[in-house]
Amino acid sequence: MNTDPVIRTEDLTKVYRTEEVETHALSGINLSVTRGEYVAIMGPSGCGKTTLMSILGLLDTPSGGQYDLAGKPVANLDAGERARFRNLNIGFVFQSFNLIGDLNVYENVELPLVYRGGVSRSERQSKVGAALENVGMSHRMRHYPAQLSGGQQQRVAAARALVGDPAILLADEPTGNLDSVNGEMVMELLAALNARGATIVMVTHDPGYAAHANRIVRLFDGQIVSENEAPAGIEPRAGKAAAR
Amino acid sequence: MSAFIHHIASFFRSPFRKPGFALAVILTLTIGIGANTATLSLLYGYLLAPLPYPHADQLVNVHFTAKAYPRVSSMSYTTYFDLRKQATAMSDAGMYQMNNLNLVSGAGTVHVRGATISASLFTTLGVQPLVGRVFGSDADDVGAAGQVVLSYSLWSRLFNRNPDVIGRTLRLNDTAYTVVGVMPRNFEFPDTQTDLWLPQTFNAFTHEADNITAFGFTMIARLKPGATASTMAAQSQSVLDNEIAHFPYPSAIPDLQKIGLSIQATPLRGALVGELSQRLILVQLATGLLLLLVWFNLANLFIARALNRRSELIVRRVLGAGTRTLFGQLFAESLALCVIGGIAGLVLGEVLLRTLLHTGFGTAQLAFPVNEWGSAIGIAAVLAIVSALVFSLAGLYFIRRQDLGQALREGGAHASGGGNEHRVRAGLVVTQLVLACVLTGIGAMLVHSLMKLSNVRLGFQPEQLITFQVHVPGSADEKYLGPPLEAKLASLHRAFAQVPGVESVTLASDIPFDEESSGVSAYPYPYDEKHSPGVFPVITDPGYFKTFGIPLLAGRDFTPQDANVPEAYAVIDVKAAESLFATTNVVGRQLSLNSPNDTKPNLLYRVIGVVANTHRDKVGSAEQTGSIYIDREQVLQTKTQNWSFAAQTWYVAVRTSLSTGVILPALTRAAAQILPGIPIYDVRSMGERLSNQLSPRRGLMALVLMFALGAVLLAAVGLYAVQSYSVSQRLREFGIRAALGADRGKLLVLVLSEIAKLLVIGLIVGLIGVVVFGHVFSAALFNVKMADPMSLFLVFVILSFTALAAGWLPAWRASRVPPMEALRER
Repeated sequence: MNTDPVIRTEDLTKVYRTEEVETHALSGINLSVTRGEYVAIMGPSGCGKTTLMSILGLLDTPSGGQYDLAGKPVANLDAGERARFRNLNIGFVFQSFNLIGDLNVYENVELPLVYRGGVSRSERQSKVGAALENVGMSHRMRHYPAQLSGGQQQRVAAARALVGDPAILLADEPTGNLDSVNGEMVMELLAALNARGATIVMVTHDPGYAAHANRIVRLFDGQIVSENEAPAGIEPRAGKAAAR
Repeated sequence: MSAFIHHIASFFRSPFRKPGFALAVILTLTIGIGANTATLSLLYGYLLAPLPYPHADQLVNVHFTAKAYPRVSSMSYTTYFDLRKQATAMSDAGMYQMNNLNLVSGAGTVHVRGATISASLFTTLGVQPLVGRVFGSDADDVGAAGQVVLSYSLWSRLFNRNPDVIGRTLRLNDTAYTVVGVMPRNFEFPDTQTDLWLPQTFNAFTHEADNITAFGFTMIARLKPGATASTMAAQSQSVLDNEIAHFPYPSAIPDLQKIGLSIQATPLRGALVGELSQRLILVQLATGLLLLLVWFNLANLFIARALNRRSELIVRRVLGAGTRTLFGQLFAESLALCVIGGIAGLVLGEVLLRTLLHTGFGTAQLAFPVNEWGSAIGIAAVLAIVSALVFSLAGLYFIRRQDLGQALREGGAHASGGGNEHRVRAGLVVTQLVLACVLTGIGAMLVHSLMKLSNVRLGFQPEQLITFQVHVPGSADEKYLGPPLEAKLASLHRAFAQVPGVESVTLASDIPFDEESSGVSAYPYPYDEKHSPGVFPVITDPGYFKTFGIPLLAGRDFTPQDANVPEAYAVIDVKAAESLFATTNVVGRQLSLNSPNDTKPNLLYRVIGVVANTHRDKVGSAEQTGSIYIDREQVLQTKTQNWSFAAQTWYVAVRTSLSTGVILPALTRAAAQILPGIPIYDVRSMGERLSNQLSPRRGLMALVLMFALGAVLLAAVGLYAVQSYSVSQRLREFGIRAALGADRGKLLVLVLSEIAKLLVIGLIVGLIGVVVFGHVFSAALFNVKMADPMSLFLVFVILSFTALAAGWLPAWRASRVPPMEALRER
């Protein structure tokens, strides 16, 4: 495994201010994720997991601290630069899939390459085909999201996240809207992707799903309270993975 | 490039997945773009497009204005010649006068409109003939052989575009003219009705220095490069001042000064378009307001659509779509609909434009490029692109404001734009209400104004009155005027009177609403310098008052026996009596149409009757001039040698209960029996002449009313959409309220009160807007105050009813929310 950190944060803070209240969502987060690593972030509701994911995914900016992504400081990028960097370096898998209903499977997966620009049509076709093959959805290329099951939609979302060959794949509660069977199937997919070299950071409530990761980072009140390898005592959730 | 192609794909697909949305946008935009394409085409054609003359910006109309004669806007011989010699600001100048002529051709005698022009007019305008030549510089010299240049239209109608027409002889008013040229199709000067051009012969009389006030010609000057209209006006004024100061009869100078002559130089376009420009600007203002309303309405719709697509657009942002990319997508999608709306608007605009021109809103007589596809397509394209920009920016504004992390956590679908979104959308609705209020208010004021105009007392009875013109054949030589002319007119009168169905008939030099007539000065006798008003002289016969239904208030009408008495008689109206004698008790008093300083033989008229005032100027015109009626037979037979009253063109008015179509053939036959081949033209009922007077105002009113109706409907749709969306976002709140005990009535009132708040704000600002815009439209209003209570009340009622009706359905939905269902809804 390459030990260069893909993600490195130093004393990262995020403060939300309203007229009367100042909420410290993150208080000095120091986190390092190396290439090829699979990290699970856990913690109770309101501990700052999603805020951390938003900042790691360049969807939000930190109030303070340092954040390097793929070796480049990104904490102070403007919106346009963040969009560009996001497109090149980050793949997302969301709890609610977030596929675009008006686009078919192929077009959904193609989208990051379209926004990247400079990718020829034939190259896009090849990459999209490979990504869908990778998640076992190439046979549903012309289907629309509404014609797919939840598990299938999440697999398409994973293909979309991977198609641009990002430095890191961020998964925010990727099983939250799935039943246990489909949830486990997605987990197996992420594990397989990781096994093929993908760097993954996943937020989850579920210790069973977290057990798929190499390392578990626990947050509480905006701080990292523990950082361990996945405990051997917890078995990954088992389920009957079946595409619907 | 690939992103662009991707947007193009969206361009043709995404909006049409929601056909209702697409249809609403296309229809609304069609109205906005259609109306504006039509009015902007008019505006461009009349006020902006280049005139078909080289360096047309150098052409000016140099004309008098006279305080005593509000209608005077022409030029005199004397001043024209002096200006040609002395005004250094101009390089060339020409003049013209419109005339009715009888043209004898193979098709018989036809009436044509001819412009008698100075030989220099064509060169001043810088135009070349299509066939043959224009007039040489000596064509207007005394004794020059008669020449004529034909219009393309007449050449086509009568000569089948035969080039051999050059050199042929035409008889115009019994005088021979040789055809020397044919003008090209696009030369229609001064208007589209002009059939031919004849040289005006300038003789010793026309050069006389005392002809300063012999108005009647229109002068066109070409300015030297660098010279301006104001320089030309200043030089012209100086020339005029000099003419007056050196007038051959010094005793007459005070009279000239009293007339209040001055000279203005108006750019040719302004002179040709006249007061139409004001109407065009007012209509454009109204259509502009409508377009604004359409934009606000659709921006609201696009914002709602962008918010409904929030999750999709946020995902696109997350995947790396920057602001420019996102804007590109929204713009491409908006453009798809706007292009379709633009094309439909172009078609609607063309229909509207043709309707406007057909109904006399524009001035069809001006050969201006108002109906050209090129400019219309350009206008529609610009409006479509600007519309797409407005809508995509409106949607982008709200999507840009979204917190990506939060929106993704909430799954997008239920994320709300919060108070800001609601405030902006409510603001857009209030703006629409304000615009609808303004348009409705202006429409109501114009209706009220037209109602008042329609009720103006004209002083005569326009019903069952058919009018037309005849041009008595014969040359204009003096030997044919006077008794010979009167003999023909009297014969015509008798012939018309004998036509079955004719109740009464009159032949007169002037009838109400004849825009070409001009005034003269009248003086009481014994002279009183304080009273010398401008009056309209009407040369007529004993049947005039009976035919027009003008009440005789004192004294008597003319009788056939008056021709045999040595004294000249006149009948005057109340306005002229008060202006001349400061009383209406004037029967037996004497007046003159000659200044006491005039060297010409004086003729005194004794007033034998006083009649009611009649509207001679435009209906609604603030200053109506008094009239003096003179017996035609007396004038032409015995009493005067002043042949300025002896015109060959006469109006005929016939009172009959028969329709024009029924009686006109009989009248034509009767005229032909007396004067074979005499054409009858300008046939219109007096009702039509009155209607033509009001048609510009009626056209403006109809347009604004149409726009106001569209505005009210669009505002209602906008209000419904916003309130409906708001209710759908607050179902949970209504469920909680219901669970806590609010009954249906309370929920209904809750929602309606929110609508009422928007309505009150819209009405307050809108009614202020009505007063402000009423000021702008004041020139188009007649006897209606800017804060017209009736109009404001109407606006209040219409807008209140519409807004509450539009808000009723969402309020009703809110009041019927099942509490448990709403509480489960998330």
